[in-house]
Amino acid sequence: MAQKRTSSSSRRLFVLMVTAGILVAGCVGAGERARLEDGGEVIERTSEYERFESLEEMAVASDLVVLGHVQRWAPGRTLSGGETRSEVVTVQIIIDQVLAGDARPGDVVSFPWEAHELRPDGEPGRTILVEGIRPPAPGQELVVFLRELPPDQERDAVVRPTHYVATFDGVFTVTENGVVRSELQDFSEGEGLPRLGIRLTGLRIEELSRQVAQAAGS
Amino acid sequence: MVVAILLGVLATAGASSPAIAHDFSGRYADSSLHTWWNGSARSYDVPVWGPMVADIMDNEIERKTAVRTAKVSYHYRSGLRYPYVDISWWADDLPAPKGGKTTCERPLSGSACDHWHVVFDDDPGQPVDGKRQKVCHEILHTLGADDGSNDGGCIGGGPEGKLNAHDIAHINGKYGR
Repeated sequence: MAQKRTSSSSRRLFVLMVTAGILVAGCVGAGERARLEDGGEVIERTSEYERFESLEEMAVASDLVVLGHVQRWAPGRTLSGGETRSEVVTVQIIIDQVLAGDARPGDVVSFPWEAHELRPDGEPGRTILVEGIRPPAPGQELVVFLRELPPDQERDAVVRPTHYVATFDGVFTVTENGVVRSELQDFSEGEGLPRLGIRLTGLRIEELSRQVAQAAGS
Repeated sequence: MVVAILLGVLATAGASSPAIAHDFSGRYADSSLHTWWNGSARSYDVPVWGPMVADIMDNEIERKTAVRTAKVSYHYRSGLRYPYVDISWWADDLPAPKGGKTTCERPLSGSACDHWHVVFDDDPGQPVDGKRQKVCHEILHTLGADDGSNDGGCIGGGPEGKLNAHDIAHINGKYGR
């Protein structure tokens, strides 16, 4: 299932990514462009999520593991229960490769992500970093470990997601060199094991794919 | 005015010491006086979550550790050294992966934080014990706790939102009497 990738194919893929990114940017509305250009102020958020000791455990606990590109942010819903308001977007990704689970390349899957605060005028405010991770941006290539969204969740979303992120340890950017990189904050300060996502950073996509396929088949 | 000065004195009295281990290495409180209030936009939150927040602040944090707690009626008070209330809390239907969230709204130099937003995931189906554990867990984030420990207590999976010896040792190590 894993695709062999050479440096020349990586370059071709990168060119395709850039082209796709330009096309995607050209397709989104003005509000979405504004979000992409709002790279300034951020706010850090600590969020509860399930931790895993190994890639195998994380893969087994996921319904779907894919390599894909963020196609767009579809409208989701607003959180407004307290002193600040924020926007949960539905991140839609088009699958390039299925590492594990029931889907095909070309399929679109999606997950909710609290992307940014909303200013009083309703415009996007500070970008929210969840455990250090920026909202996956349109055009971005990533590997993500997903679970099917339970029927009682995100019922109010304008575009209801198909899945949710199984764990923030399982969200990786894919670099142009074909290695995965986690943006997770490392709180270990040199003591104890870093979080799983950080430990997997630097793994080549082919190796990650092989290990995930092995775990899913076990 | 007297209260403001008193709070200011108390707020500067808490010397912070280095963290004992890696799972209390997040942003920490600005002092050993931890103030809190409810910032809900919905009236529903106060009767459902309010008693548990008060219980954790009074009977777990205040009674068992070196941290003093106080429910206050201000969001910002300019006369204080750290003028924002330390914790504004509310509940909301958070997106999956489900759980609470804690955000430092006013970072200070170093790793301290003047003002936290603590949001509990509002799931009416949760048993009360589950809520209490989540309240305790999120509040400990505002004192510097990082996730990762799995030895029970409020950070390590409970049960019932009770601090264990590990939690208490970390808190007292940082905000020691």
